[in-house]
Amino acid sequence: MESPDLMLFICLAAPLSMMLFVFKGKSRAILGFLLTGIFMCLFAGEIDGFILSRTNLSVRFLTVNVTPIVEEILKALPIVFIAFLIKPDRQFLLEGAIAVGVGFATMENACLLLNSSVALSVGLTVARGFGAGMLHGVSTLAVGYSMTLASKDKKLSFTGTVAALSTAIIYHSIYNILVQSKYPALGILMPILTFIPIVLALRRKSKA
Amino acid sequence: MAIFLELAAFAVTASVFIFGAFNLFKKEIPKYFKLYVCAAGCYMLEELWVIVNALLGNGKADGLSTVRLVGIFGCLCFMLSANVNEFDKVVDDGENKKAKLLSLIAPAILIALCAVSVFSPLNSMTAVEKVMGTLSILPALFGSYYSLKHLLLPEDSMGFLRATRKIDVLALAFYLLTYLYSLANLFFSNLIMSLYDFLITIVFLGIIVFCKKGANKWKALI
Repeated sequence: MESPDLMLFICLAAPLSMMLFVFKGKSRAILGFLLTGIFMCLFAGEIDGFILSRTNLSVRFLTVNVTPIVEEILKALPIVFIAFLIKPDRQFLLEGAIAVGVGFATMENACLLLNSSVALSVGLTVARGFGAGMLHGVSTLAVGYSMTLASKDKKLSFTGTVAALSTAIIYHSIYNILVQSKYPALGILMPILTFIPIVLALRRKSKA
Repeated sequence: MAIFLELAAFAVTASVFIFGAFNLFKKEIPKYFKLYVCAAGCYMLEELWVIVNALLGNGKADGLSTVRLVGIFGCLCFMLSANVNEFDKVVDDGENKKAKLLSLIAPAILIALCAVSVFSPLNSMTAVEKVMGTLSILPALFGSYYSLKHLLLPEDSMGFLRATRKIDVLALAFYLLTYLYSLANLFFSNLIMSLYDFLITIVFLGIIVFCKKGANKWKALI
């Protein structure tokens, strides 16, 4: 039997990819980033599943210690690739980074709904939707921001990107611990509390 | 008891990060200082991870884990980034070969410490853990080279090095303590190691305080 996650991916990606032929320029690129994020989520899920099936690790251990590393590296890959290959402007790279993160979160949320064994409420789905969206947005944005330094200083872009990626991994791991704890609201609150000030600061900077 | 020390360490790093973010994340402040604040932020998250994992994730407040090592690695990478950017090009014209050669002493000492820890018969870690532990502190080798080089170089015409000397001394202390951690881990109890961890945090506090002073001096120079 085919994987339900793969079918979900097709359901999400097929209509969106058709828009690639309609959109032009920046809109098309951002849609491409979004689709890449969706694909990376599917790929990350496969890797996690593979590790889980081949090792004796518990799901909890995997989601705290392995999943954040796998997911953050996969989300960073397209950003790093684009930054080095095309050397786009800062704003484009930041928007692309957020699009990859949001695409990833969309697929993750859909998979969670599909595979969830617990009763879901609208409130929980709203909280989870915004929480995961902001978490993946913030963490990919951190890597994207460090990549904006690439055009200025090669050495700095390498060490800076690795450092930002490490920060994103640890941030993601804290979120995963919190949402699985007795107080999942804390986990959902964490990305909201970090996303809003970061977006406000970026908006202020772009206006200046 | 270990968890209280970790809570205290988190309180210090969070204060350090907030202090740094409010005082040094300004347009006119050079990247050098901002990257040290980023290092403090990463270190704060690492401390937060330890606490959250201990209190809500059924983990332990002591000992090392993959994610904790990633946090230390990130913090050291930010500290290295502060030294490899254009600041190094400004203060080092490449003429002083002696300073460059002497600066290799710092990474050599760290490598020796690491070798003693890894090959010690007291070390009960698995080969994978040893490799991961060693890799996580690798950026400190390069960071220590730059910090010692900036200490050995004569004053530059703009006086930038004068503004960063104390930071370099504390950064070297931080690198040394990070490497000594794995060695001390072989001999001391978990409680003493948590205390040791807290001491490393205090060194970080010193770094950010001197970053603030350094940034003020730097502003006066420009």
